[in-house]
Amino acid sequence: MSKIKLQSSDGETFEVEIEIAKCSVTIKTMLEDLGMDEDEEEVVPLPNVNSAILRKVIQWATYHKDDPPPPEDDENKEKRTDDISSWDADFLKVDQGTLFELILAANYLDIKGLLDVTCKTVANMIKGKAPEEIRKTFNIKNDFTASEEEQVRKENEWCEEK
Amino acid sequence: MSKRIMNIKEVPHGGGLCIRSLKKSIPEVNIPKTKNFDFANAIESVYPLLDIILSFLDYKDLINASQVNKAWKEVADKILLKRCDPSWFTCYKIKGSNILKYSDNLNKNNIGIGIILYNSRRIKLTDYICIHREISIISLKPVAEYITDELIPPNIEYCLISCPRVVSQFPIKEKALLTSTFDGLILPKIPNVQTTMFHCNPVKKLDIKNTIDNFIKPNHEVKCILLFCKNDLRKSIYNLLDALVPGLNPLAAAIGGGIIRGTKTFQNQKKVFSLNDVFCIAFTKEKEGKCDFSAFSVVISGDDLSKEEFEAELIKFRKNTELRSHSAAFRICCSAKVDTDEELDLFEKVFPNVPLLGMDADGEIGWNCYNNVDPDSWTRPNQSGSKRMKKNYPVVQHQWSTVLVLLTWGNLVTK
Repeated sequence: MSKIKLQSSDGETFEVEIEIAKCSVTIKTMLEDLGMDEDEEEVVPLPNVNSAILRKVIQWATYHKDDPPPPEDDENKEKRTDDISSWDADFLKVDQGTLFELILAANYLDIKGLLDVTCKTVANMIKGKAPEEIRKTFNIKNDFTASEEEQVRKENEWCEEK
Repeated sequence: MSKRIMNIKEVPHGGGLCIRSLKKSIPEVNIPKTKNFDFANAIESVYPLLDIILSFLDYKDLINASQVNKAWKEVADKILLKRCDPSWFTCYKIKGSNILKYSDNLNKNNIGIGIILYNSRRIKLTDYICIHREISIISLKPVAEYITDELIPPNIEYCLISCPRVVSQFPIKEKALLTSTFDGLILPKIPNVQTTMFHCNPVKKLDIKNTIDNFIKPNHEVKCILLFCKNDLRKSIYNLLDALVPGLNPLAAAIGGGIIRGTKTFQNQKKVFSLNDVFCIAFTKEKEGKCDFSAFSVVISGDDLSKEEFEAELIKFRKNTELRSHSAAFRICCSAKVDTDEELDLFEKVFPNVPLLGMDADGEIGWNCYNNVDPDSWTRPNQSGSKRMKKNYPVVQHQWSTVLVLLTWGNLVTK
């Protein structure tokens, strides 16, 4: 199995199987466009990902290397969030800062499966919560004026009753 | 396993319907805060992360998210507006079990109104419904509470219409089990279209005026009206139509409806209605205002049409309508017609993937409203032969017929 070297922003180098690295569309395109395939001495620099996060991303990609490609998004289709595997749930037992860095890395490296599962996790932090509880979870300041808030509350009166 | 089944038996059922809950449990997540890190601000600052995250939420959670702050409101409102397909649910019985099937987008969409048809011989509104969650968790709820808890969010207007037979055509329903206990169609908020439900007594002209002043904006015109009444209102119904459709011109508005057992609306008018009462669902738009919404209706008469003849009528209707990106339809069929279920298959064939909410009625209301309509089709001799009707009104109440109403919105679809 041919391998490839990925270099994190802080200079650490990781040797990864090409097939695993290619779950990142960004790396896959880079390899194809630049003809970097087969050249084992080449190092792919990833200036937007630090070593701690890159290690986690590689761990995730290695576990999911045989997954089928994720389905295309459809506005009208239901997007489930209750289908996170127990492995992923364990993998994502991190703090908010790390979760955000994983989202950024998945976005930059274009790994849809990882972006989906990390964003789903954030969505699950929102689900079933009243507006005030959401603000508390995320430390969000309420920037509605009193009259705007009254307006929004009126539109959705039942939310207060529950 | 046997132990669990025992559990169910110990819980008293209400004698009503047992239905499996469609609620999904929310997975527990515990992501602790990070010191000196503003998670929400970080998400908001990287476009389109907030869009991606909020797109995983359903209707109720999006409504909550829209009240968090201005940035969240903007994104949540934008996501809801995009979800403008109709959604539906259907409940029917197989071998003694009640099956509830529903569209993928149920409880996801933005919602304008909900219309539920039910067969009052199978379910009473005073019944309690046993909602089964996991195998041993059961809760008992009155019908209305069940609906607002599971099917239509509580801040949304909806109606329940009781009819002799409920027969809809939704994409996943098994064949040969067409009649339902209840079926529901949920229409989204359509841009520039106002959807209103109201009751009106067409025998009293003052009541008509007051109702219309109350519910229809003066600068709006009616594009489609669905009418349901408990009595034969052959004559007085024209009072109402005359007030709703200027000049009683059938090309101005699509019409459909029928004589049914009863209606119940939730969320607005709470009073008892007279026997002459007509329940109306009106779709209106600003006069002269542009909007991507059209409504069409057709009356297919005769109980002796062959399959081919009925299909030809449908194809003619299809040719004289313009479908847009989202559509939904209503069907009112004469309850005395027999073997009408193949009409549903034919509808699916001619209008693929258009959800059709359907009922049988003891008198069908509607007129032809589509492109290139033959004016003669409005003035067939009045079977009652009434001479009091001086004007040549378009015939609006029919027998032995099937009335179809097609609502379509969004961008025009090229054929």
